[in-house]
Amino acid sequence: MQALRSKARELLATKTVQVIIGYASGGGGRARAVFVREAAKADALVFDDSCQQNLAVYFSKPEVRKLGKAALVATPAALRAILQLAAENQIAEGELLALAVGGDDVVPLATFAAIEAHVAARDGDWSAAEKEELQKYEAMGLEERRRFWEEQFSRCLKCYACRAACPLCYCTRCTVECNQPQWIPVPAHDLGNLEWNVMRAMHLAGRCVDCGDCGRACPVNIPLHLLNRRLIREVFTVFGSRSGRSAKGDNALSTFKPNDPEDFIQ
Amino acid sequence: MARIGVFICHCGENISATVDVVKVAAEAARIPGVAHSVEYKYMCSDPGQQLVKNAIKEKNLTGVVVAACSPRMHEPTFRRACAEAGLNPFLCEMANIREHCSWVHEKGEATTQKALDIVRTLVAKVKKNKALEPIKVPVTKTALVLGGGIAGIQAALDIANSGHKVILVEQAPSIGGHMSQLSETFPTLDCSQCILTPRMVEVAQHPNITLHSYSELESLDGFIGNFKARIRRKARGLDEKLCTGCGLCMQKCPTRKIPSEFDAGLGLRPAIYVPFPQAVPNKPVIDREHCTYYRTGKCRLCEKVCPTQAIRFGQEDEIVEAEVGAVVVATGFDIKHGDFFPEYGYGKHQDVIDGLQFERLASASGPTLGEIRRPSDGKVPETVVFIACAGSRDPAKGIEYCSKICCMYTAKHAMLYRHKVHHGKPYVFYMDIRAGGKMYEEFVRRAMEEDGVQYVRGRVSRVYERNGRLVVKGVDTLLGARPLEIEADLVVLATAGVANAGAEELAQKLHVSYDAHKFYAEAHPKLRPVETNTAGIFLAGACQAPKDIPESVAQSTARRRRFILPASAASSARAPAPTRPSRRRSSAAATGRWSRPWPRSTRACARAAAPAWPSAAPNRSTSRASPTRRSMPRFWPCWNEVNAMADFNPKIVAFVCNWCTYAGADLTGTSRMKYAPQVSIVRFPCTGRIDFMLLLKAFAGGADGIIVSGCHPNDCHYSSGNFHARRRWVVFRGLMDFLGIDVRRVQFSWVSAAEGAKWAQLVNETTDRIRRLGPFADYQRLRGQGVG
Amino acid sequence: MNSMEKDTRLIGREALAKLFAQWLGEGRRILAPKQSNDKVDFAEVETPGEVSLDPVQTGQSPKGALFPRVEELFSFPSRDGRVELRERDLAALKPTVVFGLRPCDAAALAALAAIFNWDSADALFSARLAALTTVGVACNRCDEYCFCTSLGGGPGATTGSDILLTDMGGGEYLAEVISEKGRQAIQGAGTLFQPALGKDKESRLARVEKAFDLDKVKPALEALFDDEAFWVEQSLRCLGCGACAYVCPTCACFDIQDENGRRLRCWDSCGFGLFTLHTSGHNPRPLQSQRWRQRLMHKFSYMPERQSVLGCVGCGRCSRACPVDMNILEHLRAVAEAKP
Repeated sequence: MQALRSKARELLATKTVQVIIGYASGGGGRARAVFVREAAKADALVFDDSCQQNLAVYFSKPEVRKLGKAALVATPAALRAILQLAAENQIAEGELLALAVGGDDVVPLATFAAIEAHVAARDGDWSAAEKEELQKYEAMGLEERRRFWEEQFSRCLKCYACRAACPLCYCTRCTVECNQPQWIPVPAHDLGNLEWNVMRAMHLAGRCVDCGDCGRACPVNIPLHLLNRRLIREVFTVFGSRSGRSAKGDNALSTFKPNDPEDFIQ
Repeated sequence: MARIGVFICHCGENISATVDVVKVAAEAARIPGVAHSVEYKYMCSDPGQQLVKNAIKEKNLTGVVVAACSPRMHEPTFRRACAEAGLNPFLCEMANIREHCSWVHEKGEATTQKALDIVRTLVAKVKKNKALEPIKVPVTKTALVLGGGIAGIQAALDIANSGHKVILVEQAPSIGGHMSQLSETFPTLDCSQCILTPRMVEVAQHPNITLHSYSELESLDGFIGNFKARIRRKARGLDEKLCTGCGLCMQKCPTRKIPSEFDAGLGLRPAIYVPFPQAVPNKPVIDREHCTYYRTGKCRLCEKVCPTQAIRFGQEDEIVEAEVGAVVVATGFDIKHGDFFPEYGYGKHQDVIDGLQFERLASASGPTLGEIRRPSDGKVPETVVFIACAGSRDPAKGIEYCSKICCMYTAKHAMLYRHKVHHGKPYVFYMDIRAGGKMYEEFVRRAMEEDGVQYVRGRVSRVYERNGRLVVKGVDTLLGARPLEIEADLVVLATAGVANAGAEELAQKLHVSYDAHKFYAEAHPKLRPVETNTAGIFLAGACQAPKDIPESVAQSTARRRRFILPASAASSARAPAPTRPSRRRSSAAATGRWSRPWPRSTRACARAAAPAWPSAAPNRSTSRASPTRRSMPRFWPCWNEVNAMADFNPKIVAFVCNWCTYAGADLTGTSRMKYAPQVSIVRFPCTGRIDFMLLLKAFAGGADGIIVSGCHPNDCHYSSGNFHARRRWVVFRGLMDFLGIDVRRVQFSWVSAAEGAKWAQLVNETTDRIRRLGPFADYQRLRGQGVG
Repeated sequence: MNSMEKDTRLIGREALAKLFAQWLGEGRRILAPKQSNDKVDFAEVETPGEVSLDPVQTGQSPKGALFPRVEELFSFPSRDGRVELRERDLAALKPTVVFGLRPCDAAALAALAAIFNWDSADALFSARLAALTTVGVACNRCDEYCFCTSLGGGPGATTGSDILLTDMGGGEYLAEVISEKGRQAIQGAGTLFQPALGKDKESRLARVEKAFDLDKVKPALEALFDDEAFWVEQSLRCLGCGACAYVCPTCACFDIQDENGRRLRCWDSCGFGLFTLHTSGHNPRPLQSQRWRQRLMHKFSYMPERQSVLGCVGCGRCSRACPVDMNILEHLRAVAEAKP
């Protein structure tokens, strides 16, 4: 943490960046996002296990962009989000400085290539617990899964906290906000909730960087991240493609291979 | 307020024999918003169309539904009629109650109710249609011709002579193509170069033609009338403005023993070379692969001797950009080299050669100056065996088609040999003689009867060497399969005509379709042979299929006409896409593509503005709200009654693409094949346009099962729509299964326009499966749940 | 209620179960805090055993009993070209007991009623309110997010509760019968109660320290209205979701959607980017900072001014639910202490 704070002080003092987007202590033992603009306030920055939020989400916020060039205290998921956003032309090279924090170390990553290398060196599979979680649902039969999700979605409020928390949901006008026709129902009834969650999962397919913020943000504890994770696995298994590893290139659903599998197609 | 006119056609008895059209018309009158509902024997006839026009005027109709045959049949007919009556043509829809109903189901109440249901669906859709106007786009009056063989040359000259500008791009250092390699042409035995070179010169000198030789197409963007081409002019290694074509460099070049491509490997050329003396342009090119300077850094002799100091060793490729209105693809073909039949010994024996090599031997400017000599020892062959069908018409070895020109050129080769070697003995082993053109049969007869060419009907099993001669073992089937052995001095194989090496890559750059053999696909084999499915890109010559010179020239001229007419207009009116662009959509919308929030990339916009459906242009990155979303059958009242009749009558919705599966379903109808009536077909421009949410909307609307079907991969009318759809389906299935939705309720399929039988089978099997799975009550129960 | 005598009794847990049974027998439904999926929220229960009063506060408020997440206002099915208008059958609304709501939630009812019956009486809301009986439970504990006392409320306040229970320990609850409705709810159940002699309610209540001076907040808000930097600073991390508005017991903004012949009313949030988007395309609150300001102004300035009621009861749910840890208490303190 000290390394992070002194790095932050240095970056602000030398005006290399105008703002450090990082974590500070919040309420209820949580961490919260903080936007440090003065070197003197760098001591507010913390980094520990409570720092989970994917701060890359703030790149879609105009008030944050207006603060100037930012350094972002980046979790591994945030680094992947930055690369995916770069691949989707939402961030340009040089617009931000990523500060990868690990233990007591701070690794400044100024270019996308540096971020790519950093991510690649630490890349790995899901943890045993994460795999188990997904497998638990697959082990349920079709009917049990159906009942599970029906119950889950019956509690959805359509507050769109999942969408707001996701760094890859940056559309200035979301599909649900278009009427003529109102394609996804606005009211939070069971069918509308199912359709919204399906839409969200599909629009993130091939793009989600698996930060889990959607599930964390949900005020009624729906394990939304499972939908995204299931599709991450599908995209990787079938197309061999993973988001958030390169600052260039099309994502899985905006490209194709002539020999993509089609054993289910008659 | 909607005032829809519904017109039910009897189609003679085609519809009325199984559908109670009077009842449908009466019931349709009761649909809310329908102001006029009649039936008539032949709606497409003049009086029938007049009924529509009168009703539009008298009843002030705001939309028209003609329930009759397939829209692929008569949609333009009725749209024109509506336009003539003052109703915007896009407010007219056709309800397909013939191919998709009366022809495929048994006579009875259920069929009548299905027809009524189809009418209801289209009435609901047309209420939401918007009046559309054709888009006017300015047209660039320049054509890009790819390929400088006879077809390309002819196309370029025709277009240039009509007053339009042409950019001709040829890959080789000179234009001329294979025709410049030929000695004499059938059936006239004209000297090939004599008739070709004047045209080559004309191309070079024509004020309207810009020639880029030793060049390739780098990329093509845009759409008809407004293409942007990038052309790579490869580095010749000299300044063309300074080079006079004196040829001194070629004479002095010390590296002289390179097999000449123009001479099909039978002759040699230097590293700096002009492919043949009559080359256009008559400027050499430095072959960097063999040039001593590029390989070792030494020499540069040409540079020293060049009188105008034109040599430029450091020259780099140059990219030229051009705006063109249309593209003609005339990239030609090649013949198959190599040991397709190892038993014939090509490549093993020097004296087994292919057709192009024989042409070079026979050619006055060839490696033997027109004398037929054996490549091995230079002797004049006394006996020559010509083997026809040495690779074509062979399904077992992958070339199942006929290469068309070989019978004729084999006869020609045999005749040329006899003309040059009076005492020579030519034999031709053949399977059939294909000589269908004007004067063609007479030509072959002449070879047999006047020039003494011995034709043997039978195949050759082996060619091997014995004492310096080649033994050809064959069989004479007209003499009862009598085995035959001929000792020949030279064997000429008529190998298959195949697509050029770079054909696939080029096709993908152009987004034109091609078949399994990489020949380019025409829009319609009979009715639109010179166009591709991509508007503004035309075909000429053998890149489409093996063909001879008269055909290539004819096709080029025809293609010219197709280009001139649209180009003559100051602007082009394009049929607008019936789907409306959605505002400010971004990210992975319906097509699964991402893009910046706004604006989208130029290329995407260009394609989006392209004449999309129903004419042809790749349409991939649009995210458009389709009126078909709103046409979801919202009510199934007739099915409730039908339900009461049977234990469970599954409701199945089929989302199909217009170009393949819808047409395939039409074919099922035309073939009068019967299938289960529970399916309701919804037409889309492309599977790539089918939003995955539609599947859920269908289930919510009461469907128990869904079919999604479109063109086979590589056949997509928009080149890649189905490829994108395929990926989306994989992912969506995974999600559905994870959410507990039984994926067996959704059947994905590729059904082509030719697979009428497959459509019927698919529907029947799917209906059966859904019947066994039962009603999708769990999903339909969600409707209304959670509302206080 | 002046005529009401102060009616305070005592009831044990087993007797409570019998009371529940009586209510069910009378055709009422009972909504109470119930645990499921690591969250405790109001759901239908049948016995007190299902009720969880462990957490300081439920995730969502009980406003859904009066203002459901989605409700049908009326329907207009069309048949053979004719449209039929069908009103809600208000008489068919089931009488409901909301059991276990905290005094802050009970106080919120007044705010909801002020909105829904402001310039015209909302028949559906009023019918639900008329059919609602509230049995509140006082707070023994509070956490860092609670601030009811700063807004004139308190852990044992009775406003809005028809009956208020206080856990006295040992399985006994003090039961204050506050209103006529409360009296009716326990009609015929007199034997379930004992007299409450010498029970000290105050000693069982949580200590909720007053955090700021409300009188300073209102004028401070008005003075800060144009201070753009202040609002930007407060809301930098806000992502504009609807979680705070939806869990809030007093937020009542709604959207109206027509679907399949039904007119539905559903929750909406002023935090959404397009909440104030006009048909012309103009949006008077295009920035999150302006929307955040709106939230505070509406609750602490506009509502008091126009409806004479505060738009906040200090329950703290918004702060607990917020994915980015926005804390309304912190923000109000900042407002109160801001230098003009």
